Amino acid sequence: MTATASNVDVLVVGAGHAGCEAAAAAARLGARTLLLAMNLDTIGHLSCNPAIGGLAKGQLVREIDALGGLMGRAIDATGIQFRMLNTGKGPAVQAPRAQADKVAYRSWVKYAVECQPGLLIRQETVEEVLVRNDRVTGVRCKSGAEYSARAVILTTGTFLRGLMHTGTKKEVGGRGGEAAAEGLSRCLIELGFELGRLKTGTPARLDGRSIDRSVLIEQPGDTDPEPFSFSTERIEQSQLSCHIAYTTEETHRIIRENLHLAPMYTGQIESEGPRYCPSIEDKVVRFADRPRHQVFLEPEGRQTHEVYVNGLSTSLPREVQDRFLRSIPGLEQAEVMRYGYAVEYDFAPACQLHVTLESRQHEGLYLAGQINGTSGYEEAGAQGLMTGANAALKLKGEAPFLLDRSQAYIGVLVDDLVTESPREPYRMFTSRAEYRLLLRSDNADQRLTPLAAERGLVERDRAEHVQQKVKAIRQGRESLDRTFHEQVSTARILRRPDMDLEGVLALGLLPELASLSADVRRQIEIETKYEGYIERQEATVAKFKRLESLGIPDHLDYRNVEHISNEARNKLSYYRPASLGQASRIVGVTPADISVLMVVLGR
Amino acid sequence: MSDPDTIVALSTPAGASRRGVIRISGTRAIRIVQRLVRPAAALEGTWVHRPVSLSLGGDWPPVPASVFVMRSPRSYTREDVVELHLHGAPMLVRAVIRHLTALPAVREAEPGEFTRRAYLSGRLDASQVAAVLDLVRARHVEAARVAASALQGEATDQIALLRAAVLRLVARLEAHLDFTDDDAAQLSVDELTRDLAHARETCGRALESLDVQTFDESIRLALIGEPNAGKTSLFNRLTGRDAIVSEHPGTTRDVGEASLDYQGWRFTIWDTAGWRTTTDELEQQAGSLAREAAERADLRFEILDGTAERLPNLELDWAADALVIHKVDQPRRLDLVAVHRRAAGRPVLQVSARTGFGVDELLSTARRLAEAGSVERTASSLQLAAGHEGALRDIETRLGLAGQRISPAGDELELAAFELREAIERLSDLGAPVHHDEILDVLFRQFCIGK
Repeated sequence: MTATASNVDVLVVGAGHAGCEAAAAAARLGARTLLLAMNLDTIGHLSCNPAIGGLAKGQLVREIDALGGLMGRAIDATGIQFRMLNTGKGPAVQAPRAQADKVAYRSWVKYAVECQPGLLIRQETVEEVLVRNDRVTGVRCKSGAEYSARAVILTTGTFLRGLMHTGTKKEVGGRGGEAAAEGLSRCLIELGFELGRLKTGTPARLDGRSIDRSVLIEQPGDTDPEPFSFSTERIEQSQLSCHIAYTTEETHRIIRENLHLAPMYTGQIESEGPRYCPSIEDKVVRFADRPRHQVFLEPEGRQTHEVYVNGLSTSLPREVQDRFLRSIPGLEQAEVMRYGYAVEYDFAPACQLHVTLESRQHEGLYLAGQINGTSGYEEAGAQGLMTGANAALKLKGEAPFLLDRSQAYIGVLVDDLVTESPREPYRMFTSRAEYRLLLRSDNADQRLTPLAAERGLVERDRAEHVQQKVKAIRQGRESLDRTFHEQVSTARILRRPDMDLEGVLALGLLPELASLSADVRRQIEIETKYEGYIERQEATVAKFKRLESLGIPDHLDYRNVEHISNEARNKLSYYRPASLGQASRIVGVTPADISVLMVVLGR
Repeated sequence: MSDPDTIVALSTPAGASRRGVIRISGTRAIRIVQRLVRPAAALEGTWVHRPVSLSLGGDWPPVPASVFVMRSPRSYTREDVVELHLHGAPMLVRAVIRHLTALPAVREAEPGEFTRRAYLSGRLDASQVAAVLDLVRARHVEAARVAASALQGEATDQIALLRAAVLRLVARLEAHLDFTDDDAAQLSVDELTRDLAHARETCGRALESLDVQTFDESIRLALIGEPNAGKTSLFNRLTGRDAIVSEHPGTTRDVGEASLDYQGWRFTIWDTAGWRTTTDELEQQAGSLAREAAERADLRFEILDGTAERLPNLELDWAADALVIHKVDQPRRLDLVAVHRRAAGRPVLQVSARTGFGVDELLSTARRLAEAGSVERTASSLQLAAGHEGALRDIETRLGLAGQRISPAGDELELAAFELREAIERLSDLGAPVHHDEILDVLFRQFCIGK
């Protein structure tokens, strides 16, 4: 099915991580898709740190991959340093992270969307979303061109009225060296969207040749790197190291003496910055007793000397950045290639969206990524994939594709977004997931690929592959239950602390397990060792599902619901939860209110 | 979609006599009660109503009770329903509820859940259910009010402390899990162990304070009246205590408290300080303590000095439950007609602390008033206390289990976190919910993490 620019089902505005996943997912489902971007050279650009994954984010990437998304394969192909994090802790909190070759990464993504059948790409700056009778009809561009489409997905990142701060200097733009999208904010306000403002920051980039790595701590990649994607056999490429440096008392003194020039402290920036990604100004002020802070020097690619200075996000003036950077051992001669800055941008609180991330007010208009108040490539990619899938499914007249909190981090993400009002860019943490022990990065394929295949998001053969894997795991576990060593089942032996599957296999009783792939063996080990906990967690999921399955019609007028408290009435009217489960998670709604709702809804 | 859980609740109506009615509804209702009831055969048949004894195990002697069985669909919820009627001693009621809810797929009912099930099964129609739901809401508000009064002071403080301790522990634990060692080099398992120990101690103290305070299910009777009306002599006579009595008005400067048992009822008698306008600061303070105590009491008896000529005016915002003419062993000068006019149908009693005359009648009147339903506190605070204790015990257990998963290796910390998540859920049952964002707040305030 070829799309022509005049015959579009799903039109995606923006080609960052949300936009590319959205466009690819919609096209995979057969929608004629058009992807519009301000600059085709920055498709799939890693605007901030050159890395994918990390704790909770690595889980998201695996989920995106299990649903047929791009991100996992992109980083596997273009990563330059791979590390599995938290290997000393349990499987539920382990996650992959990799440094990317920035240019290679975005080329890979650009080529992937280019190659996607049914997807057309064009360079345009969208200024206006066209709506008739609360139904989206297309977009109008700065060039004067108009495109009609049956669904529009906005993924504007930090470009909505983006404003960059370096010291007292302000510059309009969504990203270093790039223009902001001014028209679209105005258009969203005219369409009745409530907009808020968020802030985030980025550190300086240095010329790697000016860094004295001999005094720094080297951090190499894993010797046996584990791929992100379930479809990648192994990581073949050679790896580069990152390096760790430390700030000094002198660094802190320089920062303290220049705080009056930091926009966050002068009041020039009023919006909230993220607590989890504090600027170095923040760290020095709030943790004054700490003699030093860690700095990670991360190469931005193979074909560049540019190095990302992770941990030193700042909006101080350029000359102060130079001075404090050079007070760090190893960076005495450092040459800055790009300076750090803070960026403020508009976002639209996602309680204005359905759980499919479609606007409540304007049918066919979807929002994904930072425009919904999130932070991070992975969070953006996950939302993009879900909006692309749902826009396409709706046009086909099919039921929405939804994931709940017990199925995926993506479910946690979307549910949090539509039931909370963010005061900082939303970032995923494993602690946000109630069912963390079930939502592991190692089992995302088992959790999600069958669901995705059912809806046509991934190819059948991938789902079959997962089915075979699940079967092999089940058979392996049965063997462990059936096989005894000195009257103790091998499953029980495996559950002993400090025992692993290798140890059990060494007893020589289970030859059928020895031939299984490492991946299957690991699943057998995890599922057996944590069986008790997994069962307990599954029991709580069953309870959760009950309330979750009780839908609330979107048109329910809470003003007419008697017997609930005023606070509950106000909050429910504002957030308009899709289910009783969602209603119960809204702060201020009591179990008594839920009881009343159940009766009102006749459930 | 029907709920597979069997639910249990204490459903003693407010103001009823001292009986606990535990109602159980659901597919497992009969089976789980069968484990408890001797003879087990007592539950056979439909609409059974039989005397039985409950075997709770442990140190409990067999407990006499009546059992009512209403088989599906001929019950309120159209599920199998069993009611256990037993003596309403809080310890006992709690023990039975704990016993039942410890079983799999059995839990305490949510507010209004019996009615909800009745409605869903078609037993009640929407208009009937509306009335019940109003009651559910009212009970929720009432529970909050009772919580505020019953848990005033130590227990509430302890729960706030427990919440803070758990929050701190969870924040530290999540910092371990949500950040790598690179990011969070300053974290150590030792501190985690210390935080856990602190949380467990706090939980223990909260349980103790609950035992002392909220489970006082006696009838609280406040003696109020003008200075020198003889409240303290009467108090001493009732309770057999020796509080200071003097001829000088205003000697009682605090609220005296003592308990006594009378015909199977437990009374807590409060002797309150002088009720008069005074410039003496200490006495003023005692006066306001007295008013506060009187407001919290279940019953308030106004003591009148029978030898005084004038009927005092205490400027009360409420009416006393009975008027007591005291010192009737001496010549009476008080106008009886005036007393009865003020009583307006409420009991008027005549007593003498010195001779003991009328003391018995005073107590039986108090008992009658309590039984007649003028004591509304009892049932709801009993329910509340049982719920609180259950929640605290659960938290105690979860903290213990979490402790087993915190080791220097730190390889099972996510399992500890799993246990603590359940502890946090129980905190909301104590009226001290923890929102996830607060955990992040504490985490980022305490630890410098994040790149």
